[in-house]
Amino acid sequence: MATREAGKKMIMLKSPDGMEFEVEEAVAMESQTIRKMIEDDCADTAILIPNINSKILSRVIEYCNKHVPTTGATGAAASDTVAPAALAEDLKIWDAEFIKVNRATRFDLIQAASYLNIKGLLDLTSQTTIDTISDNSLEEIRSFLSTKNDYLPEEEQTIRRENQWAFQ
Amino acid sequence: MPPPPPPALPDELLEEVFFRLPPDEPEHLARASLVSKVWLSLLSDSRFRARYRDFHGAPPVLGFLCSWRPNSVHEVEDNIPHFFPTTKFPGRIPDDDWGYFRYAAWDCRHGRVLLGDMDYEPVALVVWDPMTGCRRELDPPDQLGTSYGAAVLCAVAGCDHRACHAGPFNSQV
Repeated sequence: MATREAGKKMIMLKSPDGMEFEVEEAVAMESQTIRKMIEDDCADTAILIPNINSKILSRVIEYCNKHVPTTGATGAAASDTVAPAALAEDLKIWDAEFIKVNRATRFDLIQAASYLNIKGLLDLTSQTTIDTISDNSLEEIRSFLSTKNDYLPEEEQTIRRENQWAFQ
Repeated sequence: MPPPPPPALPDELLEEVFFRLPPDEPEHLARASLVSKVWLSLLSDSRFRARYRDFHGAPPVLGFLCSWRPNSVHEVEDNIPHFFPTTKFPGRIPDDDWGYFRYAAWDCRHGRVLLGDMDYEPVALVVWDPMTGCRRELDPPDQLGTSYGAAVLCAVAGCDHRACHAGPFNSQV
């Protein structure tokens, strides 16, 4: 149920495993999917977030809490004293710590960020996966992303030979 | 006991990840294509290519075409297009016989390059796709004056030219 606490509108998010999370509306609206529900007046009761378990949903809320723009009285005070560049650097360090999770959790976060349409989180989780693709051998990429190599050895050889430039 | 590997990402989320492959470092796209045939088909799908283009905006410069090298004499290595890459991608220049012609770059548009032979009269024209290496010799235009130019254009009406480089084309002289 939407309530008010200390002048801030609160939203209740429910995971399919029965957990409820009360978050500020501004935090929830970091998700464009939830923003649309709220703007379309579809969110006056608790919002059920399908397919995202409580463990992942709590991490997503943690991300949104950190990334919600600081506006209003407290936010104005904060931005008066901290330079935007320092804030951005702080967020970058925080993001790097946040994404130190195992593969399964990262994949769940990609799925959640995509469904909830949270661009920053989708960028962060996807870019971390891209770094894996960029920095590792094909075998390591396959293993990391649980992808089966369906090329015949001779097919792989031929394509590698024709694309030597990409492997140098 | 090691934990079981996580399930593979569904295709639509793989696409989200692939959007972040840097276009100005095309080797990553090529390497990812060799991970599996499923990845290859995702990455080479025209719908993905169009969305990849949307995601990144204007495509990066992959290199420069040069009509001839300064002070070059007519040597064997002049018988191919002169492409000077600015990324790792060297352009696909088939190593079969390009003929004893000196190719000058006349036009480059919509993913195709129009090459004209500098020595042959009437002018010989070739359309070359640096992405695939495909090339097609065109019938020489007739009734040309002493001054002319030529262009190559995608021939598909209403095309947005985001992923059409292997499609039909027009050449205009």
